[in-house]
Amino acid sequence: MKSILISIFSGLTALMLAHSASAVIYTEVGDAGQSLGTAQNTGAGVVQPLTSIFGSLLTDTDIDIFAINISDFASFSATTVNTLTGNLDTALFLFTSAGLPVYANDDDAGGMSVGSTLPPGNPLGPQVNGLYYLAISLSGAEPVNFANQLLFAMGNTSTDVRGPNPIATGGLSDWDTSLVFGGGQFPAGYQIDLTGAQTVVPEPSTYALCGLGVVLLLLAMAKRRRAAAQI
Amino acid sequence: MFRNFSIALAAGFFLTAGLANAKQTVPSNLAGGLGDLVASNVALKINKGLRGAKTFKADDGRVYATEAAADFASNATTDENGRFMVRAHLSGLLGFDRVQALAKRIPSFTVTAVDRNYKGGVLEGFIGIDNVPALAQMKGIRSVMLELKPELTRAVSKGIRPVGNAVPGQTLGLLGTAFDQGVTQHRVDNINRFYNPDATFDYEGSGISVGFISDSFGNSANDVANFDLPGAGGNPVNTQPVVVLQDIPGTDEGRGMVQIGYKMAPKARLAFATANGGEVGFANNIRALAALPGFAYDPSVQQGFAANVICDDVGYSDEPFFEDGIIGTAVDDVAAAGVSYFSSAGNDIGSYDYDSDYRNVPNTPAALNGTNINLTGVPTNLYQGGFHNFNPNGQDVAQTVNVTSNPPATNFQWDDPYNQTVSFDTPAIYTAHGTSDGTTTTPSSFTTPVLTAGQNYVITVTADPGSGFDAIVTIKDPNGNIVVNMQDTGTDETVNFFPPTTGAYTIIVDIFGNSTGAFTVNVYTGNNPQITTDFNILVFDLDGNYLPNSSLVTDNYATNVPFEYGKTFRKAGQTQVQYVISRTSVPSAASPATHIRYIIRGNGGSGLGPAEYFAYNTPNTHGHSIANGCNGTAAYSVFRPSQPEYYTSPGPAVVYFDKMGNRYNPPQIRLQPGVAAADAANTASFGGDSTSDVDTNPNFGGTSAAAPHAAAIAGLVLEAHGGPGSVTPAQMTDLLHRSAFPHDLDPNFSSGSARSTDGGKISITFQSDLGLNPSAGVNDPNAFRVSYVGPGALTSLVFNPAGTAATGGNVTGGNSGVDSTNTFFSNVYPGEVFEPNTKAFTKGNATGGVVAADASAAFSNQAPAPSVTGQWWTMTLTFANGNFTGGSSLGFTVGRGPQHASVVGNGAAFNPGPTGGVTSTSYVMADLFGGGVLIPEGTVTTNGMTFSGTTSGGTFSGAMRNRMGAGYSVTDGFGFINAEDAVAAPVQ
Repeated sequence: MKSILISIFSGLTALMLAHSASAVIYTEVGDAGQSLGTAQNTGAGVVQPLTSIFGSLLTDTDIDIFAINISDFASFSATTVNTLTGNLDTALFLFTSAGLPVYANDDDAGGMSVGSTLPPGNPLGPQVNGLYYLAISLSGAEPVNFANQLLFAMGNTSTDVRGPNPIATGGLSDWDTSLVFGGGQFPAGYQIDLTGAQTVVPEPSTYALCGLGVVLLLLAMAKRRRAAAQI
Repeated sequence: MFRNFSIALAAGFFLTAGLANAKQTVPSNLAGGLGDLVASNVALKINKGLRGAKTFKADDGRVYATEAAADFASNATTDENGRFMVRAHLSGLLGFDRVQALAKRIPSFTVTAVDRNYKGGVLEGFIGIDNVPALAQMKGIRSVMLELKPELTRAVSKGIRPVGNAVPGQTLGLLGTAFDQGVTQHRVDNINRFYNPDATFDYEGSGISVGFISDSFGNSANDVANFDLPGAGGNPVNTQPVVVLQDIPGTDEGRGMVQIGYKMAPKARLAFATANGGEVGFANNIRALAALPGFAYDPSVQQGFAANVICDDVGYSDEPFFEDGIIGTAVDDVAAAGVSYFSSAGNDIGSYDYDSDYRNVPNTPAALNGTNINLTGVPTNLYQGGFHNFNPNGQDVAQTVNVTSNPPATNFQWDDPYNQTVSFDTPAIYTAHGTSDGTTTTPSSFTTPVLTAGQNYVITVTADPGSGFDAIVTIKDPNGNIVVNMQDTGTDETVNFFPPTTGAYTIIVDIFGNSTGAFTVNVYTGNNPQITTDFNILVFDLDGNYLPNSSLVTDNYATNVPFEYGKTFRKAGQTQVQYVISRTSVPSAASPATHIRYIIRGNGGSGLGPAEYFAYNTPNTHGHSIANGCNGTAAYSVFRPSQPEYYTSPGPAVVYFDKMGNRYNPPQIRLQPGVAAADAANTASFGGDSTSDVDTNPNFGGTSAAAPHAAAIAGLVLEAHGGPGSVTPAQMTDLLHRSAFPHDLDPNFSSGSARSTDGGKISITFQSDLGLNPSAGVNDPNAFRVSYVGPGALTSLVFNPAGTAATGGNVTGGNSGVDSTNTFFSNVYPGEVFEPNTKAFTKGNATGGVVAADASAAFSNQAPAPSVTGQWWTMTLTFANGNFTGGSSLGFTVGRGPQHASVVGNGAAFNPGPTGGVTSTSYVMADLFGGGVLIPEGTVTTNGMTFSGTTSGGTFSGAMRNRMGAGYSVTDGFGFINAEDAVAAPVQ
């Protein structure tokens, strides 16, 4: 619980910093969800350039999704930075605002790193600006549709940049982690560097819900503390 | 596959000028081989009295002028008088009743079935070959198709199949003389107290009616007497005879299907109807089994039968790939009436086929770069619109294809609508009149107003009342180029036309024969989707020479179907041909066809398929089994290993058009096949005996056998939920999807990945089917691919380093079934062995730093009996010179197979082990290296064969896996049905 609180406060700090910086670094608050509905927005207040996302995978089957604005699709890129993560074997996936697959990568081109890169200017990449969802997972996890079909085409090698699976319809429904071979220590932190992206800020009502959540969380903690004291 | 008559000339001997007249008697709106038959008929009549002519004999003994015609005749549906069954599709320009009345005037044409609702309507019946032109040229007829014999989906048995067994020690009841192992595989024995008195529930199909459609039913007296079918007075479970609505002689495959339904749902009421009466007859028998108003037979025949569930195992070759056809419409009709429908998905191996978006290479000399294709002898009008590029990463307009000496037909289709009626806005935008004196027309040509490029226009040239004029129409563009050449489909001509450029066009009216009289030319704005593209498959030998008699070059604008069909014979002494896919012209329609697919219907046979540019799971299930109202059914052998049959047709289906021919945007992707069920089980009368069980009963293989298993389970579900009407067809589909065993979601594929201790990553992918396409499977040099990411280099990779069966994959290998006392047994004998003696370690493509010469293989840990010398548990790959650096990959292949097959020998005494059957040299599929699900137990094993190895600075280890779980897979849909779960599953 303590770690969660730390994450919450660090996240709120990041959100507050966002108001005063021309470009922001977003830090995951708690655990970003693995669906569009539970994805985290990446900013607060006003839309600003987004240069990095910091977060952590809690287990080898954890997936984090973030809402981002692609402001310059031609220069958009996302790259995991492994110096921070101890050579974490990541995979990155980009989805449209409707959860449809855009492109994905497991390992960096060149084959020297198990980090991941969604490269700029790739024909499979985004072709219009707007709201997108960026997902990070361990290598082997794959997004699937309602029928458990892979949303992205399989590549010949792990360094391929992959586009949508042509025979899968619909958007993100779930994740298949059966081929994650695991390993490593968790939680494992990650850093995703971005170009051509901006923050996505929550609606005002979302702030209220977030605040309510924090209050309820604190109340619950206090209640538990009192109960423990009675024992 | 009517190759125009001039091609027939080239193949034969008719080199006389007189044949120019013969050409006029072969209408261009004949499809499905009917043009070949008419051309042959004309040629033989003209040639009568000539000597030395080479002719070809069909199966019925009749002689034809060409090999293609003889082949079509052998495969055509005929009656006792030698008449051919045809389907006449109406144009929509005359009312159905009017056309039907006119058709009665065509000599020798006997209508056997009609469909008033499919597109413009269809008349189906038998006709003498001499009268086909008259029918094709009759007012109101758009095109006429030869009705080929239906295709059954009983698979050709490969004869090599690992064996299996089902709740060990349980002695099951025997109904009749043959135990259907689908009962145990689907866990029906757990919900049926005839087989298992201790079953918790007893669902045997009471109150449910199930209909079956196949070729024929035949004489069932022995089966009834032996209780292998219901109806006998002393039958312990069911004394209701099978209702036979219509039967036409055939192989009696239908009786085998009904036996399966009876063994799975013994107390259900059963009925049969034939599919042999042509597509319309088939469709109407579907409706008759459901007792739809207007389609039920006479009450004395129907006997009150109204199916709750129907299944079939028949397809017709010209059923559409990309839309619902005549039969699919009937399936949807009965589904709308509450009937759950099941149809065999097909037995067409994915690697036999080709499916692609069309990538055009313009018709220039550069189009042939990189090939040895010589276009000499190819009519130039067949490729004016360019060629398909087979190579997505370069240019190659020729594809090498494996064919046998007498190959099955190639069925080529694309995304244009079938059998569209003619429809246009009135009044005409241009009208003119002319006359013919028998030698010339006045005027001889007509100039249209400016026509807009891409817009559909309908041009009609019709004889005026009382006139005997018969037109032949040619159209030239504003630059004088011919865009429609000498169309002659009937007395009147109707041209569906998309101007390639904007401008005024010239209509030239020629005279057929010496016909005279007045005529009228009209140009209308069309308003109905039509054929947009005329594709062809030009076939060449391996030396690049054109093979006209193997090429598929019908005029699809005239036949009104996006369909080419025929055998692509190879040159003597060669085992392959080259396919070049061309367009007759650059399409000018606003939305031309963009997707192509051909299927070589192997039906489980071998020696076929593309030698290049193939994919293991090319989707090919099609026809009515992809209808929305249908549960396309894939097959799992009742014998182990527990996985889909190697031949079951992959999906999904992509449907581009609605039933009116309007294009879906985007196209529908239908998750067919939807379910999987058992095949290769015992029957009393149909199939050949399998060497994988201890009895001598015939085993019925193919998706033909799977469909009745699935249909019978649907009957049990209905019974369990309250009887007929308790579960709608849509609910049934959903329920069965949710009631399947977990299964392999990445068929013909397995993979493994591991991190090395120095931070590298080793990835192994493996794709392979059984390899009946001789360029696939074990002969695919890139079946395995190893890639490396990270520091240093990959230096070694060892498969199954422990050298044991338990670490060798094939986790569902072994035997299961019933022994000679009908007692169920289930033994698992896992493990794959490497067999370099059957296929040496062979390297494929290398990328990055590694080169093929860096890799070598060694084999160790000789596998024990039943393996023989040279069959090894362990393969060690060594990569020398430090070249296998980050970003490198290498493909390879090697002989492999399950250490234990399940073959036990015909009639051999029961002996399930401990050694089981001999080591297989043919089961080379990739899935056997990963995990699996044991059926009927449902046990999931995640890991398959283990591996380990070294990098220049570390070590690694891992295991090959399949992606296991619930959901849709292209080969077996949502998986093999667990009937025990299905009857208990709630309706949602």
